[in-house]
Amino acid sequence: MVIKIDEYSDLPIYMQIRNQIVMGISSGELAAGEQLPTVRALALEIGINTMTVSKAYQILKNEGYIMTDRKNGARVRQQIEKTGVISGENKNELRRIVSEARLSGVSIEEIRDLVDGYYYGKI
Amino acid sequence: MDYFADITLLILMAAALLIMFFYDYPARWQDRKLIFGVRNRDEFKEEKASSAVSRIVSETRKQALIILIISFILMGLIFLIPDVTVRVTIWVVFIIMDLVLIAVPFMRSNREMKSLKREIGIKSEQGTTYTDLKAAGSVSALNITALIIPNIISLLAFIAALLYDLGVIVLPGLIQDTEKAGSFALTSMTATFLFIGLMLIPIAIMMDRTRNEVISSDSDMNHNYNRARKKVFADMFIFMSWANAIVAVLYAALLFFIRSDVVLIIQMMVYVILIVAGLAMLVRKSLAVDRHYRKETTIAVDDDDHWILGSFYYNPDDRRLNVTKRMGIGGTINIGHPAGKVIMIVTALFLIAAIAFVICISAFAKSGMKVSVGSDTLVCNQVIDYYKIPLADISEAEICEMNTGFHLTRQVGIGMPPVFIGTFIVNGENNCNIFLNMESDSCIRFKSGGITYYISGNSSSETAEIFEKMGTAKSS
Repeated sequence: MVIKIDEYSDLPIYMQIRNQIVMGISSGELAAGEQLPTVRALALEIGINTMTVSKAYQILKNEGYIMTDRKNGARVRQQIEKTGVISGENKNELRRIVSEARLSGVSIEEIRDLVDGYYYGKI
Repeated sequence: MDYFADITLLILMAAALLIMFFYDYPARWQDRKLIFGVRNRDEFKEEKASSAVSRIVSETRKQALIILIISFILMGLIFLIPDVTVRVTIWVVFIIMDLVLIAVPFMRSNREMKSLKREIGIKSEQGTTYTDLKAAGSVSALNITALIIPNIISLLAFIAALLYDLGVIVLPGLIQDTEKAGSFALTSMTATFLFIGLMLIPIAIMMDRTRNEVISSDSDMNHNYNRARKKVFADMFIFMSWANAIVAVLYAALLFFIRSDVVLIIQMMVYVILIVAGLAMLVRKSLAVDRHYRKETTIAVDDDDHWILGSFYYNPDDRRLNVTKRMGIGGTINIGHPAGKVIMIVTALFLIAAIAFVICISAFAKSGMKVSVGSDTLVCNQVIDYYKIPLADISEAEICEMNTGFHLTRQVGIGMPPVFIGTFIVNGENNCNIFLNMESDSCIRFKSGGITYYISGNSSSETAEIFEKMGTAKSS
């Protein structure tokens, strides 16, 4: 799986890593149980501080997407807890995106198609 | 023998220039990954841009070709200089200057290519990095064992040479040129090869750990590409290590049978051929890998603006120290990295010091040698006083001829024809103090404090005059 880091983005680099790994797990690009690179290897590869990668992995671990241990490094969890709810933070984010789209004149059908595409991995 | 070093330098320099010319100034830019340090992209192949790129490539190639031809003419002219010291000095300055000069059209065209990018509206994606999670830290092509084995062989050759020079081992019946034992010439030569071999290990590891490139959204494609790229370098380093070990062993083994001058020529010729072959192999394989994966490239990272003149990588936001070169082959350092800045300054100082050192040595060799006989002391001077010998301590003084049978092997000191100063083996006798100008056909041989001295003036008549003065001063 290829991740894209934008050094000049408003989003911190650790959140960019976290978001793209989550998207990778959701789309199936990262399989359940798949080994992730070590903190040091990924930091060296991207050319960033190890603390940044460590922070991203810590968030992913706390959110239940990955598991880490000293011996095996980081892996995608075999079973990711399915709560069946959208977090408040994500609801607010979705609301902002829909609002902006409506103001830009995007129809609800177009938004639905986009959501379907992302949800079923068609896009 | 006088032109042996010149021929070696000519072969190495010619090979380096030709490799640089054909690698960095391609006739067909369409197949290349980079055009003068700027990433090749589909937009360049569109009609208007394509003609502009073709014009830049053809003009730059012409300029490089002119520099190449002038370089070959100048190298030929260096051979016409009769004085060895002046010739060697000019070689050193020429090599450094010419390697910079051949890069000038590349650097100029790098600026033109960047301007063209702006003209056709390609926005710089500076700050964007692609990373393949599968490739991170897992792509390696270097077999460390294969790199260590030739160095163990070089080490054994060095140990054997050291034991031979220390007199611990002797090979009766094999060694014809016994005067070489104890001179540490064999030890220092094998130590040099061992040192070169050992230096290759960290460089090979560094190249194997360079950042993996992302050329496709397919992880397997990225993995294969980076492995192929690193394997080219790994194979080259292993080849070079073996070449190093073979030449060290060849030198050590041949020295037992043949005189050192012939051995040195054979050894250096084999070494030069192997280095040129290794570099040619690296270029050929490297181009083949790029050509093969060029059509698979779907992701092109635009970090052109971090490459100053397409040759120097400056990115303070990148924590990597070593990156793959854009001009030439191999790796370079990130000047934006704190350690990179230090390495760059040290390298620049080293180059300046090397040129200054060679010029100083040359000036030193050209300054006159002077042997003066005072009322009670003999002084040998060239810029500094090398020997101050009380005349009362001098015994067995005699004039001897420096004909074809007169043989010198340097232990410590200066040996730049016609000047020879320091501790030498003379006709098989160890630890002789020498102060000789070979333009004189004769020299004065004497003993003082248990050491044998060989000194001469700048000519045979001057040597005879010194000998006469020594006799007069001693008797009075």
